[in-house]
Amino acid sequence: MTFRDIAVKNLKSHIRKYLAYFLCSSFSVMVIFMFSTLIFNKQLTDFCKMINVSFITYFSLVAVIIFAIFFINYAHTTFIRSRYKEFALYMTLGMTKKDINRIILVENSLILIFSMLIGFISGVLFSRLFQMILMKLINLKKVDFAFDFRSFLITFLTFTLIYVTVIILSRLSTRKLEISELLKHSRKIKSEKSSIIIGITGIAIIIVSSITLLFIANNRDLNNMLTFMSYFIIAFTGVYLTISNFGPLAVKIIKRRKGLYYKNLLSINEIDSKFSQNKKILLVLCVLSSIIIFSVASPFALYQQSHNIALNTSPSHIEYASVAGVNEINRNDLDTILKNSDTMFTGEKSIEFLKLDYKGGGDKYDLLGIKPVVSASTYNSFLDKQLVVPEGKAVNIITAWEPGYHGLPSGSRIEFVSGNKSFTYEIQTSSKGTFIADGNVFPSSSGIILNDKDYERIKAASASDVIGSFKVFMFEDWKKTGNVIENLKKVFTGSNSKLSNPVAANMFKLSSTLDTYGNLKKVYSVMLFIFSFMGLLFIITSGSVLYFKQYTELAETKAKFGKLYKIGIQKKEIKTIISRELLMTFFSPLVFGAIVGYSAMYLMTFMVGGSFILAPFMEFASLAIIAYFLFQVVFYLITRKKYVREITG
Amino acid sequence: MNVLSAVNLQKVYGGRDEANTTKALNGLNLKIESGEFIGVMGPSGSGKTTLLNILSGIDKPTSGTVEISGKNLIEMDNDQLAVFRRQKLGFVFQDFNLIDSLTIKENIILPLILDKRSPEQMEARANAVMSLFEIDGIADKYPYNVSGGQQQRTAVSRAIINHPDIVFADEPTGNLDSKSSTSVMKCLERMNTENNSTILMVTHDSFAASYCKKIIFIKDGTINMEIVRKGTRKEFFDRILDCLAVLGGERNDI
Repeated sequence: MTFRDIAVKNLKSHIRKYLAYFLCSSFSVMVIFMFSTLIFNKQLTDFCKMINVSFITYFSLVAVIIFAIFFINYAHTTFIRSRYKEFALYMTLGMTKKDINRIILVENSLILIFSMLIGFISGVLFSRLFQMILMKLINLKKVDFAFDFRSFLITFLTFTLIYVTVIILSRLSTRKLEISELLKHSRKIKSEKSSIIIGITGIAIIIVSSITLLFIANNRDLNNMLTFMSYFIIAFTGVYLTISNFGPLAVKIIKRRKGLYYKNLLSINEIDSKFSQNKKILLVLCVLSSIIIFSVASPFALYQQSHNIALNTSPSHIEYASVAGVNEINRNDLDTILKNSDTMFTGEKSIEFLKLDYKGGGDKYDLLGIKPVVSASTYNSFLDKQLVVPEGKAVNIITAWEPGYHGLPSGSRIEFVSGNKSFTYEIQTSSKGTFIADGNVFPSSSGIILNDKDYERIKAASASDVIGSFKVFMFEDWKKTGNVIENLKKVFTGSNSKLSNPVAANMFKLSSTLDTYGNLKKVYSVMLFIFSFMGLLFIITSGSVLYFKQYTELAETKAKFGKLYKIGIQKKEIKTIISRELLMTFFSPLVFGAIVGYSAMYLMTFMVGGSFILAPFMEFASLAIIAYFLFQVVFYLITRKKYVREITG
Repeated sequence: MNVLSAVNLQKVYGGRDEANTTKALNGLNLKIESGEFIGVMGPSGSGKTTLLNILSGIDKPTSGTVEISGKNLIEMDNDQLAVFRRQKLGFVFQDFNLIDSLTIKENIILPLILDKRSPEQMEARANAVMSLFEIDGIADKYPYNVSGGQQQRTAVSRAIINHPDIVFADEPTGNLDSKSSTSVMKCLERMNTENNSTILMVTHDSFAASYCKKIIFIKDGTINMEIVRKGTRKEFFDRILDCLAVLGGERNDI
């Protein structure tokens, strides 16, 4: 019998263990592949770029890779650990550690190759389905199904890298082990390294980071993607510390009351040992739960709220800026268009503003180097506000949706140039809010409000082509304004093309609630699809992780309860103990995940809108948590029934 | 006083086909008085372990009855048997049967924990029994960190912590070296003489058997012979070897 025969025999006799490990690997390959095809699908990335959500695809790929690292590491460790006894036997019979390592290497390489194969095949099949639905959703007619070789490459590289890391790690851990240790290892259940102080620190980190998040959510300086990511990392560090030290902490607390401790000794012991054995996998489950909650709830909330968000971003049903010949229409034509509206025209307003060249900070929205400027009284009467702007100061109202000050923070200076004169003001406040018109109407990241006197001074110095007006039209039902919008756009495209700089003229867009609504719906439906797909995938994943965990523990648990049975334990008592342990394993990740998911949702509401969507967002988050919880209850009951039957049968 | 009585026990393994069946027990009768220390010996396959499993309610006989302290085990269901076992019976197994995730002390009080006794009672009894068997020094260690002899003494402590009517021991020295065997057998002997515990022990080991007060030899599923200890342990040991020789087992069959 050669060495290879032994390896093959091994594989045959442990086929179930290998199968579980193999399926985990294939599953990970499939998931990574599916998400990487998204990244390299040109139509999708173009679409995402167009609507400024490119981060979604990268974010999901990173999430998936992180998941795969943990999942494969877990599957591998469980797989190797379940075979320590076997290795010990081989070593007693004279096999060297080098031989053992070779067995591990050969087996893992085989699994790597075959799971890649299966993963790619199933990935290609599912990706097709996945992309077809996605393309249909965002109304792209010509669908390009070619699979970019880069998605194969990235999957291959990621996966190989994960495998190599995992094998090196396991080699490091087996290198330290002696035969006696290997023999003992399967019995050794307690990890000696847990500490109560670290456990408490973990809980403190979760609480403090979540509370801090609530406070900084409304702060424009701190509320950004970096905060978002750091919160995830910090919170999950806390979760990990808590989980890995939860057992001893609970034991320590309960042990103070001897009666309670002895009464529940078996349950406590079961939970304690399972927690310290499975801390990594519990962390993965926590991360998965939080992503599930966040990724399912937020796009649903956004989608459902697109009506409100549209009204909030574009409160005027139709609006456009008319200045220096741009967007000019004569009164008769306008009246005809308004008369032919499908819905009743209820009123119009014309708000005067100055289109001023300025020197100061700006970003991609400020390509033309101009800002719309209105007087405080105009602003106050239009929006029914009581804003006071002292002379020499300016208020900057940000209309771009991205967080940040877009180059004009409070306290900075802005210099307007009109004719041959220059006017400098200090920015009194700079914040996101509603200006007269939304960001599309005037090509700028913000609008400026000046004191009435300052305003008049500039106006007096300005040529007539600087003075323009925002035209605002209101209708009975904004959802039926489609034909008005179309007709106006037609007229403007015609007239603007005759101007000296039609490209710049076309940047003064006609904005409408209906268009905003339509765009939002499109964006949110894609988000909804990608995110709920991710959520669904993660639900399946978390289910299979749990199943894998229970499956690998079955033999050990069965042996333990077999011993207890001989001493005299009743079936219902076994059921109670198993129920409690399963309850903790199934629901503690959900609790931690809910805390993090909820906090992330809270942060997200301030990133995309503001307090007006907070309530529905939180409502959706709660709904998602409840739904997930109910799903988990069903899953728990089924698993428990099967598991108890396996143990007592 | 009669602690255990088994009448006409039969255990048949195998299918319905007459030719394929094996009779592990064949109409065995047994009575055990309070305070007895009985060894059950016999060649491999004679039905020793089957007998022990049936007497202790872990397995059910094909026919016949088992009564312990006036209770008929055959009529009880599995859950009743479980409660009965933890209240009235004690067990010592060849492979110790300790729970690896529990400390030595927690392992010992397991039957009391299952029976939901008061913590004071658990503490008091555990401390008493641990000092009796000289394992109080390792109370907070885990089974995989102590020697085989210590593990078995832990198992013996667990077997008597609930003051059982009878203790069943299945090859308690089977996994131990001679020194540990001696210490465990001395424990059992002390249990019998000092606490007046009733013990039924299945063993291969003639040396271990020589600590008993009475030995029954079974062969082909029935009691073949019975000897009672008279005189010194050494004399008893020699008689056991003689009986084994008569029975057809080899003298070194341990």
